[in-house]
Formats: sequence, C-alpha cells, structure tokens
Amino acid sequence: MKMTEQQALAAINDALRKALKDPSVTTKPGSDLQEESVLDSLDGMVFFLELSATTQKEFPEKDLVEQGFYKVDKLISFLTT
Amino acid sequence: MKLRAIGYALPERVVASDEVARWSGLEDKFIAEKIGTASRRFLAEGETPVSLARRACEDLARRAPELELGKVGLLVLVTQNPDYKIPHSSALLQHALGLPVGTGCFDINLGCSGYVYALSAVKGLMLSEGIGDALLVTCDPYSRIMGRADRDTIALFGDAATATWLSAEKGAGIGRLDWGTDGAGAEHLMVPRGGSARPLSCIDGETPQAVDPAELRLHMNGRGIFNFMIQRLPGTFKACLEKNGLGDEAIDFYVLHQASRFMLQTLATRLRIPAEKLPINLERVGNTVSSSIPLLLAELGERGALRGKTVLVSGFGVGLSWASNILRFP
Repeated sequence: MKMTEQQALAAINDALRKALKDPSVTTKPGSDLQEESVLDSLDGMVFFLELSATTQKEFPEKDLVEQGFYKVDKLISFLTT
Repeated sequence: MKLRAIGYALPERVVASDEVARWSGLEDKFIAEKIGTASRRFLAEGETPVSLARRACEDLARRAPELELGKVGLLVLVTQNPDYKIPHSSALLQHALGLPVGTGCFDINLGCSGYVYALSAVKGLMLSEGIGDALLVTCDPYSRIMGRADRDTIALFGDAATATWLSAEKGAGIGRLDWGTDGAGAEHLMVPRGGSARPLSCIDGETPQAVDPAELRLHMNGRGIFNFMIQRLPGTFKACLEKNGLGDEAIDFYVLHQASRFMLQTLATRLRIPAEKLPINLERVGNTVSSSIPLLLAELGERGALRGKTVLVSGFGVGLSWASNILRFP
C-alpha cells in the first residue's frame, strides 16, 4: 500500500529521532537535512537504515547526497511512489 | 595451539586530528566524537610494512624472552599493502628476523577480518604439520593508499604492526571459528587500479595508459560498510557462540575490529553489549585494519585485564569478509 505524504513525513521524523537519539527533533517539507546540519554522514547511515526498516523501501547504495535524498521533499516523493 | 603473547609497533610519525582536519575539511569535533580518534600514526618516508613488522616482532621478543626465533616453524603475515607486489613480504620478514630457512612463510591477503582468519589458519597448520611455535604478524599501512583530502577515509585509518606468538605449549585457547564472505559488496572498499584487472604496466606490449592518481587510492562507501556490519555481525556473533557452546553471558569482552567509535557504539546499542565489555582504543591509533584486534588485546593484556577472561574477537571489512572466534585466557 502506498504511503501518503503525511505518513512519509511521520516516518522521516521517526527515523530522525532514532538516528539522533533526540525525541524532540523534527523536520518539515522543504528542508535539507545535510545543508541544515541536521544529519552528518554517520548519523545519516543510521537514519537511512531506520527509514528503510520502517518503510520497507530500499535506498540506493551510493551517492545519496548527490541524488538528493537528504532533501525532505525528495524523500517524501521517494516514499510515496 | 595457544595464543601465547602479542607484541606491537607504531610508526614514529604522529598525525594529529587537527592536521587531518586541515587536509580534509572535516571538523575536529566530528573526528574526535564520531570517529573517536585524536591522533594516529602514519609510516614515515623511510619506513615500510616489513620494517614496522620487524619492530613488532622485536617487541614481542622483549615481552616474551622465552620465544626462540630459531624454533619458529611458520610465519604468516596479514597484509594487503605489502612492500612489493612480488615477492611476498613474509619472505622479506623471515630474512630480516633471521628465521631459519626451514620456516614456512606466506602472506594472507585479507583486511580487517584477517587476524581472526589467520589465527585459525595458523592453528590448523600447526596441528597438521606438528609445528611447535609460529608467528602471526599484521601490518597494513593504509596511509600509503589514502588520499589526504578524502573525507571518507583519511580520519579513520592509522598504521600499526603486531606480532602474535602461537605456541603448542601454553597461552590462550583458540576456539572454533565462524566466518563468511559477501563478494557482492567488494566495491565498498577497493583500490580500483594496480591489480591485474587494471594494471599499471603494459598489456601485451601496449603503451601504459595515463593513470588517474585517484584510482590508486582507497575508495570506501561508508554506508555500504555500515549496512554490512549491522546486517552481518549479529549473526556471526550468535553462530560463534553456538559453535563454542557458549551463551553471551559467558563473554567478558567483545574485542571487535576498531572500525570507528560511531560504528562500535551503534552496534553495542543494537546488540545491548554493555560499554564495559566493549573496549575501544581508537583515540591514539585509529582504525589499524588487521592490527586493530591484536593491538587491543595487547593493550588489555598489559593492564592485566585478560587474566581468566573469555573474549569474543570479530573482524569485518574488506571483501566483504567477516570472522569471529573465542579466546579463553588462562
């Protein structure tokens, strides 16, 4: 079953909290998790692992920055298609 | 066959993290807190893997004066960065140490899993050939293959050499091995040029192509390695415990390959390994590839922390490859 944009954003926020071990962290559409220094390269590994486990979506192995996966809009689009 | 003593050597050149930060643009705080390293050692210009390995063997001889080099029947060197492509560095080390010409010598071409693989390989050969004393040496100086501006690798790795004496007489018992390989992930840690698939020398008389220096350096896909570690290590720990008839409560220390503080702590959280059972020594040496496990064992041994302890050792990395075993210290 496809995720809605709202469900995708909730999954992103949940994975962010797990990766950063911070229950208060949150993001929103239009944000860039790298540019805004929300995730460094190591926390990003845990974030994508958690997001993949929750959503059953496989992310590409390489170049997630270049492919725009640190942008919340791109993530929502990927998770809802 | 027992693990009797471990010696080690570090290069003289100390590279502080602020220097690495200048080369790479990484932040000091990131290197200190996430990688866990304040400084590491790089081979100096005149040093080679064999010269550092020789120093490690000399350190072993100082720590274990009862070791008689003239009785060593087997010398195994774990490295993927030997002095030369030909010959094998263990032959050079045999000569440098003055070991008898009757000593069997070979290199094992493995990275971070190499020490754990080699412990069992040496143990097996000692048993099958009736060898009383063997040396297992590690030295894999990544400083020689890392681009200084490469943010994926330069803050992680440091150089070291270790020498382990395996003896038929006494020492720590070496248990049953669990191991594995997933070559599908081989490209996650690779030096893409210089082997026979993409040689530096000419093929059939053709003029050598221009070489991009970046192709001669280590390439690492950190996320690929991270996912591999998270997926594979719980299974190999469990299989290793089962093969050795142990439960996880029997393990006093998990002496794991020192990949990075972040990786080790993430793994510890997921597997609920208490911090006091997971020693980390990255701060002054970094990730020393196949030397990381024996180096940490040597440091724990120096503090007397291994007496009577049961230790799970596990190496994982290049290949992708992993191996776990149990050491029981008297």
